[in-house]
Amino acid sequence: MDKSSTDDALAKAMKAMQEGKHLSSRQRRLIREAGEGAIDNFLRTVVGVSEPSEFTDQDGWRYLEFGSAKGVAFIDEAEDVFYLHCEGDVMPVPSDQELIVPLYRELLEMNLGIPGTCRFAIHGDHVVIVSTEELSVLRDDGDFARHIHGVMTCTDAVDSDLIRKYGTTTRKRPAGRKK
Amino acid sequence: MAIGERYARRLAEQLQRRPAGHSRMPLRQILSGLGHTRRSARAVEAIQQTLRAHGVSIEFSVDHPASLDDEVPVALIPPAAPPLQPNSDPAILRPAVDLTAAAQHAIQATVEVRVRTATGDASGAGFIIDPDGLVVTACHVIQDDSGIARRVSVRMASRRRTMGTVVRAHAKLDFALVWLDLAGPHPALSLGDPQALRPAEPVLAVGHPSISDLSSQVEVLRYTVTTGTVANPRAELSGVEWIQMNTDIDPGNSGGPLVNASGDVVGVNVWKYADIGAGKMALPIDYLLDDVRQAKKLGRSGAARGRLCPSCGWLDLGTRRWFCRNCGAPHPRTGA
Repeated sequence: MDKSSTDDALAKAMKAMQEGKHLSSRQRRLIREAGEGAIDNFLRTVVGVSEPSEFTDQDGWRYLEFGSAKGVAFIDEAEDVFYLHCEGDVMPVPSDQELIVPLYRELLEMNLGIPGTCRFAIHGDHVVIVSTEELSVLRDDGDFARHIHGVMTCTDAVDSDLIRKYGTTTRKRPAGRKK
Repeated sequence: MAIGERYARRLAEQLQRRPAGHSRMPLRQILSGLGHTRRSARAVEAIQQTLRAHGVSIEFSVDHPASLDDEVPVALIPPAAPPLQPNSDPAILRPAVDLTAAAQHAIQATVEVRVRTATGDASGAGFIIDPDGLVVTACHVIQDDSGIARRVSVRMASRRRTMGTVVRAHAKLDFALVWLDLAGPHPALSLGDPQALRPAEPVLAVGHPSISDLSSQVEVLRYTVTTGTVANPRAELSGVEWIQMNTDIDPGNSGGPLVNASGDVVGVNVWKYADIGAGKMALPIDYLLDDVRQAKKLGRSGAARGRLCPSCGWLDLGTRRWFCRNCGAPHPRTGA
């Protein structure tokens, strides 16, 4: 199939998705490939990666590094709707309650002020910044880039301060024995 | 003098007449000579103590070797190094500290810890800190696909296998405590004072480094002893004081003991900077003292109750609560 036919098929698939229609397996594949291609373009043009496949795992997750921040971007699907999901790793959840409680409070307060769709979340035992957007809203590679860039710059801006404040332990060693 | 004492003294005299100071003898003969008819755990400990008191070491356990007619190695324990005297003459070299006795003792108390993951077994080291069967290991060693595991598999120096119940873990400090299902007595390490460590003090590590060959087959070099010195006894990083050393540790050493020349455990080997020779890190053992005391007070049966949070390693004995009191994570539905 030539490129223009593929583009037509993709456009029809996107329209079907927006209208909430059931998607065929071919339509699903076209949408997913288009989304993953846009993430790969971000890796090439913004991050400077020559071969995005080297940063892609078996589930199609693309691993990113941006300043001090590390993250992941992938295409997710739920009930015939496709999403771009981007996550930036901030820090591991602390082990001590005396740090966990004020950290959670601060994260929720920061959520109030973060622009756009970015928000703090807990994924497993890590604090992350996430953003999830429907593919139907992202019109072109520029929209993809802005979405992923937003998450990574936000992560890069906050991780060092949060780690400094909460990335330690409240445990103290017992006083040394007197000699 | 009791019969066993006379036998131990004669054995030591025989070994002293041998050039290398060691020999192999049928286990049955040794048991009989020391007045024992059965190879129980108590007899094993008593025999080792009696012989050690006469400067003799022996390698055997409750189930190894399999037959009492097999021979076991017996050897003279090397004398302790003379105390170091300060001297003003730089041309006089100080005598080296002999770590062989400390190593032998540490090996007996070191275990291998395994958890099952989706991609296969993951393993590391640990050590027994209480003769009844309380083990210290690294938190990252006991993490499976769901987080911190509740049950782990343990293989002891005697090659005996048992299961263990995780009673506490701390991800930031990277330690965990496990009660063995198998009751003691087990050979255990005594606690040293990590705050008394000095730069250049000799220390040793025991662990099970693993290597992967080109076909991804993993070989484990069990009970590897590495020696080195303390580079910085209080290397502070991110609010934690680590024992920084140049003693080689590799994947498979995590959770194993860092032992001083007296054979006392001073730290838990947990991580390293890959490209720095003196960038190996052990958690000072005094960070765990309160948790060890609480685990001993709780005991083996207490450890099996309550819910261990797979996120933060906190043991919540308040079983009615649906979330972890430490981190707020909901308890898994299995309740473990």
